[in-house]
Formats: sequence, structure tokens, C-alpha cells
Amino acid sequence: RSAPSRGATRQAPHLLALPSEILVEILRYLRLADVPAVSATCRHLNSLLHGPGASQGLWRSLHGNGLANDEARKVLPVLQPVFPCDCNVCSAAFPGPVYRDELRAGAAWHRGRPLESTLCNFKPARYQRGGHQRPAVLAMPCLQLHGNQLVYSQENRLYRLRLNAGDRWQRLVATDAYRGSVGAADVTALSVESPADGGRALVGTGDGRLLLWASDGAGPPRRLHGHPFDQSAVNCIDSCSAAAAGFDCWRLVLAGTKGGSLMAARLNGDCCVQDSQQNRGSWRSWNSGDRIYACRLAPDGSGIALIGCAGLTNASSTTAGADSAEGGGPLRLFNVETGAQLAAGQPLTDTGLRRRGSGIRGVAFQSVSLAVTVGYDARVRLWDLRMLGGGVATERHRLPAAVWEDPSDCAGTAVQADRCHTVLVGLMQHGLVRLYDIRQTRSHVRTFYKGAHYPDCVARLTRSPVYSLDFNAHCFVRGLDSEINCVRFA
Amino acid sequence: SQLSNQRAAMPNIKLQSSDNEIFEVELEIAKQSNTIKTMLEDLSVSDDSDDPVPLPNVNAAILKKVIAWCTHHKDDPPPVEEDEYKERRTDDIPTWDLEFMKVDQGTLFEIILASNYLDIKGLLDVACKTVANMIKGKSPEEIRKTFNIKCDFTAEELEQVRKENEWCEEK
Repeated sequence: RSAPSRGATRQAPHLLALPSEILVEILRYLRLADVPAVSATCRHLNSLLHGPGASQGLWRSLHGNGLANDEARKVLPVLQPVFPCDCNVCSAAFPGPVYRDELRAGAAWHRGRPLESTLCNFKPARYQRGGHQRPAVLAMPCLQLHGNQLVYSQENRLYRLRLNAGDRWQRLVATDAYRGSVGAADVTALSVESPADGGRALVGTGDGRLLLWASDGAGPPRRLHGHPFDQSAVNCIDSCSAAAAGFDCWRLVLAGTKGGSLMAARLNGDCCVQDSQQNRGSWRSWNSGDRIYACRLAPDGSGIALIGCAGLTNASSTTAGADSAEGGGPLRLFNVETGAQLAAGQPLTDTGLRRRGSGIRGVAFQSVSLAVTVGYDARVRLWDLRMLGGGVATERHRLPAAVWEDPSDCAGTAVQADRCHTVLVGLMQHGLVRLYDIRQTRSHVRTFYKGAHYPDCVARLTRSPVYSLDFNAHCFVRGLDSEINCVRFA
Repeated sequence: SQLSNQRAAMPNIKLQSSDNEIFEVELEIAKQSNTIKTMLEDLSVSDDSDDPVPLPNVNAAILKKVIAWCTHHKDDPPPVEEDEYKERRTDDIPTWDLEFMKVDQGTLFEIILASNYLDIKGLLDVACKTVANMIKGKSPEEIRKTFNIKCDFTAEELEQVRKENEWCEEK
């Protein structure tokens, strides 16, 4: 009586016989916490969640159904733009639907078990022999991560590590990496191009020199031509590709010294662009009148720079002049193309009083218009640069957009941001690193202790500040006084 | 009476199930199904036409259930297009629908298939929520038992899947 095609549906249909799009529709009513049970049920349901064709919308719902309100649902999970980075670890660990993998990386940073490993140990001989006597200059490691490559400095040399698929770091031999040394002084500042751009390293030394290092083992680093030289340590260096801003040079370079010099140049290939009017290279320099600790160029290559100073001078006692930057204050917004100082954001205490010595030790751009600073006053501040610059005159407008107080009143020494929501701050004591989410107003999300995840935990504790810090989607690396320490997540 | 007046004003159409049973339904009720609505518009079936609309994918028992649901929900506001970010709740099923969905699993799945074919969003949503509620908070073993699913993982694969999903668990 009935059509032949009815035969199949005559017997009671089974859950798994429902079309995939309906099953997905059903799964969209579940929560993230239901995922482990559902995917362990059978292959078919598992593939709907994790298979190559898995729906982005499904994961968005699974994530959103567990969240408290619509606002929280609209924001993406952490680590979004750096994710996935192009390294072999990411491609192996995160093959599935992008939204799921973003959630997964975010979950690892928020709740995952951290796995520590020491990438290298060092203790300068003079440091050991001196006993409690501290050496004149501590060998503070600088480091930078690019995908699966880590470049770090140790005294006057540069090393490169590559992360292998088995989550092990492999040291590249000298002929393959940066050859030679910078000479008598230590490397005190480092900025490395991405491997795609050639991987050259710009370094600053403890005696004020700026050098450029080829990554292919071609030879020792070469001194940059004609840069200003005040014989004080180069505390910070940054470079960014200016191609985005339409300049026909490959790199904009900015460096700041302990003596207060700020210098900038355009590099073309390995040389500074020659200025046709004058005989010297195109270096521009300014005297900040303050100790410069940190400098960063805006990621868009526009030449806007943020300078973090010690705050030793105050705004009223500035010397105006062609060569000197006007205005004081620890945080300064600067245009290196024109030399104009755009604004000086003053870290203010919560009562609005200026603190003396509230110097800034670390600066990071969160986006073109947002920046994060850390410093001696144990506050992490988020600045909206649009509010700082331009015609906004009153000091009330120069307040940070958000302030987070360090719970243990520990000064910040290093900061990195992922250009989305995540900020990682390295502190002055015990190798502490804290994770902040700029969407959260309350406090930090998580603290990563040094040595807490070793079996012999006590023996590995350190008093060292975090001198340098960098992170990608699956790990972060911190430079301490006697080791480079990497933390990834189980 | 008023009711009979209304009835007189409402044109009826005939629906034919896969097993050739004919149901006479008010046009407004039948039009909750986007499929039927489109069919009528495309075929420009006139109101006085006596030809039944054939529904070859729905049998009489299920069609009866579907018509019952549509009759009860005929005064519902039309469903709104859902926001991608909107929370999908399963605890907001009306009492009448909860009672309506107290059927055996085979019937439930047939209702899902029928409402999907007939494109009745409200009914499909309620049925999907009902199934989701049968999954929520259960262990894999309980889910398999509930839906009579055979575990086709090997022990190693199961361990692998468990490990890969650890991060989803709320802590």
C-alpha cells in the first residue's frame, strides 16, 4: 500500500539516523560542559563536534550557552588574533574548527595545567665568584618569540631555539644562527624581525651601541652607521615594518637609552637611509631629559611611538628646544616622523595625585589606539591613545582607560599584549607572571609562579625579576636572572 | 454562534498523508508550515479547490500530532529570526508542549523529521530542545543507553577522546 521509500522510515527512527544538520541543531542547545560526554558516545557524534566539517556556529552556541549574559557572548575568546600562529606546534595541536580551537587555547591559558621547562641556564662566572657581591652589570636576557622560534641574548651573544614537534626546544648551532658577539658590553635590548622578513636582529648594548645581526650566520653583527651615541646603556629597541604606512623602506627603528637619548631611523636593507641634505645617516634624535626604560612603535608602521620613562623629571621643569622633547611625565606619545611629542600621559594615583618616581618599565601596544603600561607603582594601566593625543588639554582627560592594581603590590618589569584581549605582565619578584584580560575590570585572571610546577618545587624558586617576556598561542617564555623559562599548557 | 461564524469564514484545506489518509485543516493552521504555505502559493491552489495537498513524507499518525500542535499554537506570534549570539535555553518549554512531547522516541524523531520537512520552526525547536534535555548532564554510557547507541570506539580511542575533551569541563 505504501510507497517503497517508506519502508526505511516505517521502523522507529534512531537518533543517529537524523540528518546531520538536525543533530547539530540539537547539539546547539547543549553547553561546553556536555561536550566530553557527547563526543565519547560514538564516532558519529564525535565527528559532528570535532570533525573537519564541524560547524563554527555550533561551537559559538556551546560556548555562549554557558555564559552569563549577552555581552559576554558577543566577545570572542582570548588570544584571537595571534591564533593560530604559523608554528608546527599550533598546526598539530589545533587542526579543527577555528572557533573551537580559540576556545581551547583560551581555556588552556585560563585553566590549563602549566608545564614549565628551563630552556637554558646561565650564571656569569663573575656573579658566582663574587658570592654575595653583585656584578656591576647583571646579564639580563632579552628574548623574542616568532612562531616556533625563540631568539634570546645571553651576555654578549645571541642564540636561537626552534620548537620541535615533540614540544622540545632544539638549539640551533652557531653557524646556522647569529654568529659572533657584540664585543665588550652585553646585549641590553633586542628586536628581531619575523623569520619571513629575514630574521635579522637589532640589538643595543650596555655601552650604547646599536648593531644589526644577520640570522644566517653570515658573520658578526655590524654597527649601524652614524647613530647618536651617549655611551649609556640602550634600554630598549623596537622596529616595525614601515611598508604598511607606505614608506619604501623596510624598517623603522627606535631606541632609547639610560642617558635619555631617543633615536630613530629608517633602515633600508642593512643600511640606514642616507639623508641627501646632510652627510650623516637619517638618524633623528631627541633628548628626553629622563631615563628611558621602554619604547614601542605602533604596529601600523605610522611612526607613532610610546616611550616609558623613569619619571625623574616633572612636567613643569622641561626645557623647550628643537632637540629636546617637550613635556615630562613617564609616558610619552611621540611621532618619530615629525619629532612632535603628542602627549604625556601621567600615571596618577587613584586620588588624582601625582606620584614621584612612578616610572614606567614596560609598554605594549594592544592595538593601534590602545596601549598597556606597567611600572614601579605596581599598577597595570590601559591607555586609550586617542584620549591622550591632540587637543585634549586637561589632565583629567589624560587618565588611563583602566587601571589594575597588582594584588601583592609588586612592580611590573615587562609586558606583552596579543593585540586582542590578553595581556601578560612580568613582575619584579619571584619570576611572577600575571595574565590579564582587558575585558575584565576586576583583577588579573591568573598568576604563573616560577618553579611551582616542578617536582622539586622549593629548590627551583627564584627571587629574580622577569626581565623579558613574550608569548604565543600555546606558551610563554620569561627571561630571568639565571635562566630562560618556558611555560606551556597540558 | 461566534465560533461557527469563524469556522465559516475560515477556508479549509485537505492534507493527504503518505498512507493516503485525508485531513481537513483550517488554512491558517496549515500555513504554519512554510512548506505548505509555499506549495499553496506556488501552485496557486484556490480556496474552493477540493484536491488534497499530498505530503508523501509524513504518515497519518505523525500528521495528526503535527496538526494538533499547530492547532494549539495557531495564535502564537510568528517566530523571530534568531540572533547568532542568543543563548539557547532548554528550560523554557511551555507546559502544554512538555505534555505533547511525552511520546516514545520513535515518534519524537518522526515529529522532528516531519517538522523539518514541513518547515514548522516552532515545533522543530521544541522537539530539538526535548532531545537536548535527554542528553544534558548525562554520562556517555547513559546517553548510549537512552538512545540505544552502540559504542564504536576502541578502548584507546575512547581514552584519546576523553583526553582531547578535558578542556571543556568546567572547573
